[in-house]
Amino acid sequence: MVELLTEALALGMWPLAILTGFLAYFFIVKRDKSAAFKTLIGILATGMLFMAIANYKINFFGESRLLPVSLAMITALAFMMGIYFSSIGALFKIGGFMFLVAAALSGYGNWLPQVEGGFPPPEVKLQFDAMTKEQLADEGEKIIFGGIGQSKVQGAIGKGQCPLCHGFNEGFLSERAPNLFGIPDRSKQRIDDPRYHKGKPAERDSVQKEAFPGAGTGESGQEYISESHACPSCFVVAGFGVKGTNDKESPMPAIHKPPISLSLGELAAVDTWMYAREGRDAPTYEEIIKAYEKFIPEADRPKQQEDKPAAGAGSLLADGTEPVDQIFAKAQCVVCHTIPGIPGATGTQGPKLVEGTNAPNRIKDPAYKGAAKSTPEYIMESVVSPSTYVVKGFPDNLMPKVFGQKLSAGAMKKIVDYLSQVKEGKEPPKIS
Amino acid sequence: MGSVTRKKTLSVIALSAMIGLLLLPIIVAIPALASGGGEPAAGAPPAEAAQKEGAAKIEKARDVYYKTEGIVSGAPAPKTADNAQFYPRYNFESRVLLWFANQQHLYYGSFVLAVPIFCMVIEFIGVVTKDKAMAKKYDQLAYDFIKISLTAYSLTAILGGILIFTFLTLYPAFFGYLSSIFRPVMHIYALMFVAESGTLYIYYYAWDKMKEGLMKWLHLSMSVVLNVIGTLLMFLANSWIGFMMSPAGVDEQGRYLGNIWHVIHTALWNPLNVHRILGNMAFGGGVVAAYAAYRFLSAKNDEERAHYDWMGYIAMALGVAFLIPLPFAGYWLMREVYAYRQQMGITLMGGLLAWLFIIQATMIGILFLSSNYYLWQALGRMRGAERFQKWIKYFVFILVVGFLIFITPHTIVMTPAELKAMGGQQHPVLGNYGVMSAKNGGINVIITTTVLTFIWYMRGNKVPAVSWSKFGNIFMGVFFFFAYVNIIWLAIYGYYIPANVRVGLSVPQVATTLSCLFFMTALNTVMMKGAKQLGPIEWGKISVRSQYALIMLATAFTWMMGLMGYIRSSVRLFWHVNEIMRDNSPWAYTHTVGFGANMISFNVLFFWISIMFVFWLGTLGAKKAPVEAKVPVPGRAPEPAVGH
Amino acid sequence: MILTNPLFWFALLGLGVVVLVVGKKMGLLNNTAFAVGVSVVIAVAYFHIVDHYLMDMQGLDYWYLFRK
Repeated sequence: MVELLTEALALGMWPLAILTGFLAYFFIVKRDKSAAFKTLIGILATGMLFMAIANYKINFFGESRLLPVSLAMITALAFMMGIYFSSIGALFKIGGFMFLVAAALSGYGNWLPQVEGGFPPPEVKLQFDAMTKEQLADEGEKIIFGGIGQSKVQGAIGKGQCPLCHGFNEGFLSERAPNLFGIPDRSKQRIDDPRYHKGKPAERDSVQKEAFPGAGTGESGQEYISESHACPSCFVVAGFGVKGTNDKESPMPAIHKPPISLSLGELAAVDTWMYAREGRDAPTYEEIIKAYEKFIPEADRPKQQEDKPAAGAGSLLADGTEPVDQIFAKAQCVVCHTIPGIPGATGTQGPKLVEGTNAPNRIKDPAYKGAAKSTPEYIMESVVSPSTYVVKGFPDNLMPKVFGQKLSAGAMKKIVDYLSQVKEGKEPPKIS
Repeated sequence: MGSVTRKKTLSVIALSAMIGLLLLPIIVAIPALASGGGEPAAGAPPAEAAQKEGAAKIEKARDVYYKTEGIVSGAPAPKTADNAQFYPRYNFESRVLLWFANQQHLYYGSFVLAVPIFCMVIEFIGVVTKDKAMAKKYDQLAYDFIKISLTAYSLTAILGGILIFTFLTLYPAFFGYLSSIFRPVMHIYALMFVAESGTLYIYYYAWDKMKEGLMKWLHLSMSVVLNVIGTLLMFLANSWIGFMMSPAGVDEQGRYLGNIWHVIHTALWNPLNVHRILGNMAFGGGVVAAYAAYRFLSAKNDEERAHYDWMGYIAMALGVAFLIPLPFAGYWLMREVYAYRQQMGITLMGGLLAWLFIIQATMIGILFLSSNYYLWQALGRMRGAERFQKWIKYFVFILVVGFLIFITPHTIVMTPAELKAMGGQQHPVLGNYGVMSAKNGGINVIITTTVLTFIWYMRGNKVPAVSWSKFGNIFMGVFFFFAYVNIIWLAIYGYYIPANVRVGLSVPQVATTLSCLFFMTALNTVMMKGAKQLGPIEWGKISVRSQYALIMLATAFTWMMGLMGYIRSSVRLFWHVNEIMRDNSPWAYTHTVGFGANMISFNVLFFWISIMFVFWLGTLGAKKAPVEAKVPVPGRAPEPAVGH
Repeated sequence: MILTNPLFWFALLGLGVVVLVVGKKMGLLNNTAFAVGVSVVIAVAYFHIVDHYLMDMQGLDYWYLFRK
């Protein structure tokens, strides 16, 4: 308060001095009591104005949430002036009212919880394999929360985007995904969960039984964590599955794939932090990497990005050299569509792809407005421009419209060839 | 008589020549645009030649958004570092200075773009109105509007200069990059600006000279030209921000690929354009309404009060007319944002900036509440409107309930921990509208109630005299009742069906609201034909409080514009140009909500203080020129239906 | 179920309009019961049509819960 008054006096010295001069002039020389009184009001208002300005000046960049008080103060003085200076009273009252509205709105803004977006991650290329565990844990915290020490900050979020769904602190509400506090211990218990089917992936009832054919299940706590990142649907903690799937499918994206695309090094950093922050001794970098390599096939491992933290928007999902089942997996078709003959393709958000049977019927549908004349054309059109014809009962705009750019011509051809041979009630074609 | 005709013809020719000259830059610009900015047209043949010679100098690259191949014809985006070369600075946060300069320019720019549109509309109403006194009144009003905007126009230009200067001084590398990208259209921008100024001045100064007959129509068409230029100018300005948010026409390194149309026509350009036009109009209405309120409150006699009461009413009605479609344009913009980058959408609605959207929701509610309040107050100046007063309390109740639902976030906010999880990941289809059928129910209830209030206002002093009036009233009542039922039912229904079906519910909800708006106002207009008047509208007899409602509307609107602009700008996070050019200045982080709110308040108040000064200057001018006789205000005369 | 068929609601709307026209001929327009009845039929049918078709337009099923 004292600081505020001194600052206000320092700022408003001259106007106040002049007004005081006027006061003396009116009071002593002119003996005009009413003018003197008005000047007094003026001095008071000026004093308040400069206090308001001083409040702004001192606290502008500070944590103080009391700046709107300045605006309220100006409102008060404007109305006061409006009463005594009736000739321009309307201006004062309108101005005062505007200050009041602004004060209320910025007061509201200051009353809400304050979240500050952290600094962007630095543009340096990180050498995860050469880091100490402490450095690795710091990088992990940055990836999860956006900065070192940010894990204590409400709402902080980093490139990994984990806190959008997961709670990280003990007792935190986390209804979209499991709270990850205590995961170093829990991961060891989870692999013994009967639903986990340790060592027997084929017995799992989840939509995806293995991270990739032949990957197997986790055998250690770290492998459990790695598998959860690489294949969230392989095992879904009870109660956290996609609604209506009875916990057979997870809403979480595979973290090594777009849009998040963490590299193995980054995943190792994340895991190291999860151990380190609970005072546990994390597995070594090499051990963690090995655990990930078990679940992420060579071709799917994101390369460490050079200088662009965002996922490479221009890169292809599949270039056509892969077998068709891998193309379906890489383009993530399998997440939403059931495709007979393709392992893991059991999604239900989109229609079942028996296009050898469906396509001819769809083209005949009076509601069909597309340009396709044949089954391959229809499939091509549906992949490149999904909204041209939307199958009844399924929402429009759910399927991304980017596949035209994300798949090479070769990959597209393989998809079309395969799908046009899938017919209802017949053996699926061979994967080529 | 003959000489007069000749003079007229001559002046028409002179005027056409002038307008033609002013339009020349646009005509010149069209082929340049069509060929993609001139440069590739000239650049292509040598490129082929070079290839034939085997010189591998021509480098091709892929457009980041359109995915087309293009010849690299620009330097990559500069990689900046935190030093005085890239970010020269005063002893203050550069970003805040630029924020201030930008926002002020934008406020004035919006205002001077919106007012000519009003002028056009009002002048047109004036021309087609049969009632001579009314026509003159409208004409005078349009003239008043353009007079206000003229002073603001020069201020806009000055502020634009200050903005460029600030930009150039504080962010030279960034500005240099942007202007190198937009170089092919920079001269068009400049020429259009000249054309805009020229047309505006001719339009203003020729007002009295071109009052009658054909000349009046010419004058009116000039306002159309003025608005076309103004709108194009704004589109060009928008292309800069569109490029910053969703770049296109460059490769991953930010190198220009020779197609300027791609650079302009980015993913978010059109939604931004539509949103901004509507926003400008509502904002302009607010500013003019505030001006009228100021003149009303400082009026010295009844005649002035009547005039400015009327002016405030017209400005408010125009502003609200554009406020109603604004949320829908906003939905479209958000949908495009989600389609462009889901992450960007989540940052906006469910991440870092989510609280700002809570503020926005609150403000939309406040805007509708204020306009309702104004209309209820306005009932007070009509004899015969007393019979509606007792219903207002129920309206307030409905509005408040709708408002409270509307500002409640989708997931119940108990802690920020809950909020940070809001929106986003759980639904794969957030790209559409957002999964907020309940909130949509809230806002639609508010808008429907506003429509109902407006219909009551239109009926204020009248009783329908058509033979089927009883049926009409009952039908209207039943229709509104079931509209409310349908909106609320859909809101509740949304909780029982899966998210991907739920997203669609907002469309029938909006359709219900719009059905009320269109059918019921139309039905009401038909029913009011030849209605029995209970008493005249006594312009000027409105309460003082109502004028504060107008000021509230104007201030809140300005604030909201600042808020939305801040949100739009900060969603790029630490990118100057999204994913192309990084912000490496010390101010690449996002401020807290409170800081943002304080800054917006500062900008808003600065704008209002300065524009009130402009208004005040305007009154000085008016006093010195008593020649400009006030048109007798036919306030007491029966108003034709257009008065509403 | 007949209620989920948009044609039913169209028929209802048509019926409402026909009754309205007939009522007008018979000078029933200012009869409260008649007016309320016709209005309710028209409004209910209209809003069902709006709901159905605007959901259908987006490839969604308005009657989702009732068909389940």
